[in-house]
Amino acid sequence: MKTHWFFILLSLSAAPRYGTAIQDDVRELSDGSVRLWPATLYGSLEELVEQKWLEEVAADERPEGISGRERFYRITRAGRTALAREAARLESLARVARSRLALGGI
Amino acid sequence: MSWTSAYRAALHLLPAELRRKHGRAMEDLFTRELFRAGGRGLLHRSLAGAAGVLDVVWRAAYERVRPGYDIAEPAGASVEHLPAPLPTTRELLRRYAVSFAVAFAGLTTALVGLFGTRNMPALLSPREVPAGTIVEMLLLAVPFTAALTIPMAVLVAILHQLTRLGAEGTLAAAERPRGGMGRLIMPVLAASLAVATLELVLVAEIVPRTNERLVSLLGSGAPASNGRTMTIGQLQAAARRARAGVKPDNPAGAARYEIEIQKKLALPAACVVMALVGIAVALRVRRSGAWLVAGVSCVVFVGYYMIMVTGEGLANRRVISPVIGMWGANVLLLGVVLLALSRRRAPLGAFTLVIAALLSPTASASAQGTDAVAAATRGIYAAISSADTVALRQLLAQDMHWVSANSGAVAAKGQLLTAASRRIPDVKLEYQLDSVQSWKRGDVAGVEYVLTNRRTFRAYQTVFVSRASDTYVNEQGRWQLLRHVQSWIVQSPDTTALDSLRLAAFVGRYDRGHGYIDDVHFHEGHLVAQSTYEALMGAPGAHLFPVSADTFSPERSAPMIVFERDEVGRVVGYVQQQPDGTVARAPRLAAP
Repeated sequence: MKTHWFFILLSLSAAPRYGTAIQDDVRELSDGSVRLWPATLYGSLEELVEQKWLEEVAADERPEGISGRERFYRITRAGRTALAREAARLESLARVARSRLALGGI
Repeated sequence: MSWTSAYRAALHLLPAELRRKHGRAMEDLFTRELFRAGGRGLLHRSLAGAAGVLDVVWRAAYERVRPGYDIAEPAGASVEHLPAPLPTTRELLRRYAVSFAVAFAGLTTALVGLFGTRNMPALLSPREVPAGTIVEMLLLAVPFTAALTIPMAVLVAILHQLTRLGAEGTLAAAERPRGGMGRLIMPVLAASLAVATLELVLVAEIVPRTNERLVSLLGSGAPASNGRTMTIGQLQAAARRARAGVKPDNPAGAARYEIEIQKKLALPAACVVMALVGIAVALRVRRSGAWLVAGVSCVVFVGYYMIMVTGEGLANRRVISPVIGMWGANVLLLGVVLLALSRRRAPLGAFTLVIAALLSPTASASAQGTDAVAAATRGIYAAISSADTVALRQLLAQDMHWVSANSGAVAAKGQLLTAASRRIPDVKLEYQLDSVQSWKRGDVAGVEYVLTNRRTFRAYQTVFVSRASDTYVNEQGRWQLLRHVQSWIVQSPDTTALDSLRLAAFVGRYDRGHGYIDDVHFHEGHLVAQSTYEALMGAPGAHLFPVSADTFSPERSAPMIVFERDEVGRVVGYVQQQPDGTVARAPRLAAP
């Protein structure tokens, strides 16, 4: 899974958000290491919707107090499964790395 | 130009659908990024601006190669003979410009990046170099890199656009009308010539000056005087001086300058050669795709530059003349192109293609409007029969009206798209257009044709034939359907034969009300119905052709008459549907 896809899914796993909020959240989640530029962000959102990992929130389902033109996105069940699978893969990779480092005496 | 304007312009590289949906949000987000970066100084703002624009360029390139970008080819039996409409010259040039810009930006960025990574360590190791100098060095690397990437981008752009047209069947369709192929090829060839002119200015005048500054930045002091930092005029003067004072131990002095002169002329010519390569490949290979474009481009670039480098080396050693050394790659590639074109199965030869495209632009232009609207009409039926609403949407004007033939009902664009989007299982729709005639007056054009619609449910087929008239308007270079009007062509029914005894049973007077009588009688051996109106006018009445035991077709064209019988089989009247939808019931009058 592409790194920015992972962070977008991670951001939306907490709550539905719109583009700017996703960008801010991803920056915070990654300690500033992942910076989603606009074309990458919105292009990725479209790709994730095509993958059926995200869906656009209908206008009447938006969070209260939001009535602007922002498009809200939320993670789907398939998206959560994909995110969980990727998190497990990263966790397993990290475990292997830690055990190798321990063997190396560091 | 501000960063926001540059960003807005760059957004046009993105696919229209992505731009339409998110363009505004991207712009807002970019402005926010610029504002944030601006708080940390001008350099940060510039870097953020450049990063944002590069992000769009990169995304645009990615969107065009990622799976799902290309609209699926329409399926269905009728698509084969209904190719996609020919794009207008403006549309063709717009697509070419976008492909060129994306290819140029991508290739130049990659090569400048490569230059930067190769030279940065040498630049940084001996001394602390200011960030401004590094940025200047990278910017100065752009012109000489562009001199190489412009011909490459020409090839990529032409391959990308023409192979797509080839795969859609548009190239094949363009071969049929007179001047059709020239209409597709001429604009991209002319655009490539324009690019070649710009390339000439770049390599002859701009690159030497930027190279001079770059050499001084990379070196320790004054710029070294070599061919790459000299304009053509300076090179010619240097060659003359070298020839006049040539030393026996340095015979290659003049040749070095001549090589540079020829190189500065051969590179712009390569733009045209690359364009011809792209055209030849597209005409021979009726496929498309990112891999095809990337593969062909890589093979051609590598081959071209290997021949050029080899030629330069041989010319430097005076094995061959500078002209042959520098022009060898162009000549060889042109030879391959002409060979490829001359072996095409289609009747279009290489010289016919290039010379006709160059010499007869007016013939192509005059047919442009009418051919385009006829092709658009075919495209509409291809899209309807394959439920391709994406293609259909582009061919319909926003305020389009589609007048239905049987009911006269008017469907708007949205209604037609909704109807076309529904694929009905087991049903195949086929449309055949005959007697197509088109006209054009400025930005309005029309097509008239006979439409045969075959609707097949499993093996059962129904055929509807109608005459249709479509009106198109030119919206920003694209012909879009504004009005569609269609009327059925009523076919005469199959008739049967009834003996005179059976026919005699229908003779009599039938009352349609208000004293309006239909007199059914024999006339010259045929059954004829003469109404009161016809009797008053002195008209003979309508010949009734039997269709079944009790059904007759007046003159084999008017609405049918169905006679009714009582329980003992005696004819007691008839019914007939009127054109206004009412059903006329005429009881038989008792014999006087």
